[in-house]
Amino acid sequence: MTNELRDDSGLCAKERDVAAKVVDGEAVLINLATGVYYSMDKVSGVVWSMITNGSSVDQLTGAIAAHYRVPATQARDDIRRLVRQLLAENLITVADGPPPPASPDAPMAQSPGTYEVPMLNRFDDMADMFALDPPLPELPAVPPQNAQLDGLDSAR
Amino acid sequence: MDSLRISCIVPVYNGERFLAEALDSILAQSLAPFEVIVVDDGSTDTTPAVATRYGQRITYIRQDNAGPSAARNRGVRAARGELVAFLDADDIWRPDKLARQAARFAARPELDISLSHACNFWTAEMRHEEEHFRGPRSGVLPAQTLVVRRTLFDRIGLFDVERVHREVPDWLFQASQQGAIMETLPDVLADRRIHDSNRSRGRRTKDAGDLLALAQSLIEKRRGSGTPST
Repeated sequence: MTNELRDDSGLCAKERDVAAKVVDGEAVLINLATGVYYSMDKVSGVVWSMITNGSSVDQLTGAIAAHYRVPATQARDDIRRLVRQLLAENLITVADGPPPPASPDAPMAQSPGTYEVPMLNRFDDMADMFALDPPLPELPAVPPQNAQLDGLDSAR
Repeated sequence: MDSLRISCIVPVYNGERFLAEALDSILAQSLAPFEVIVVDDGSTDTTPAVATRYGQRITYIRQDNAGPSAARNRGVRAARGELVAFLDADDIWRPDKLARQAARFAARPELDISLSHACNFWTAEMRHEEEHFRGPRSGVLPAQTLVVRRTLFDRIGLFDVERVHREVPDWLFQASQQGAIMETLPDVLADRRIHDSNRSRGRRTKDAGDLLALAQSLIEKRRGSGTPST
């Protein structure tokens, strides 16, 4: 089921299909189903970190506009575009419920630096290699027959 | 035209439950293989009995337990065909698999490696997982579909015996870095069985970490050379 994107909807990373890590503010992502990989640096790295905490477009806009001292309308336009790209690439999903309260310690660098339009850089040159033998699900070796696969169902 | 001879290598460790199905799927190929080499990596179950039931139709080699890479390498060293194909002992090939891939090597004399798509399928006790993952999804699965021109191993070496996991993708990555010519058929020519003891279970986090480290190094390399994203 796909929820409609609204500015106040919580977002979440598709943890089942996406491997991601953030190093020095830059996010590296791999869509394990397609083998396409991505980088999100500078402003977009912050956006990715906030999305993994469940932030909405509203919360992202507020945090980015304040931190980088840019007009909220510009930040909102840029963030909406980036979020739609992330949805189109199947890297995130719109959560069922509202987002959690904004965290006071958003993952910002100490000094904001210059605002740059947040980008999702997409690379498909290794798609065949990365989609090779995608990792099997991390489930117990012999799960009980009637076990609820809790925690993962929300990713559907 | 003389067709290329294909040696099929089946590494197996304690594979009594599914080995016969794997071997039957090889022996039922529309293009008969030149030889089938089962490398028993020191099984402690009834694998030897299952294998020897096939008599002269297979070559059975037994070694002390040394891991899947060592078993594959043992098979490569024993192989006499111009092409070498691999199948894990819990998986199966579809009937035209070898014919389809042999035709590619015949059509492209420069081809080093042929892969194809494969599907996952689940054993009965794992049905709940199949449902959870919304059924089979095809992907390029190298351990089930790899066919290699045997001389390529002389050029780039055998499987890394230090690796006990993802040794085939690792070898393919090395091969691609060294300029091996690879081709992937989009058709599903094999099936990977998902059961309660696949070797890769419990390794998702580590596998994903390995891939991310590789992706990061590629991104940094691009940044250095100024190559744009796609």
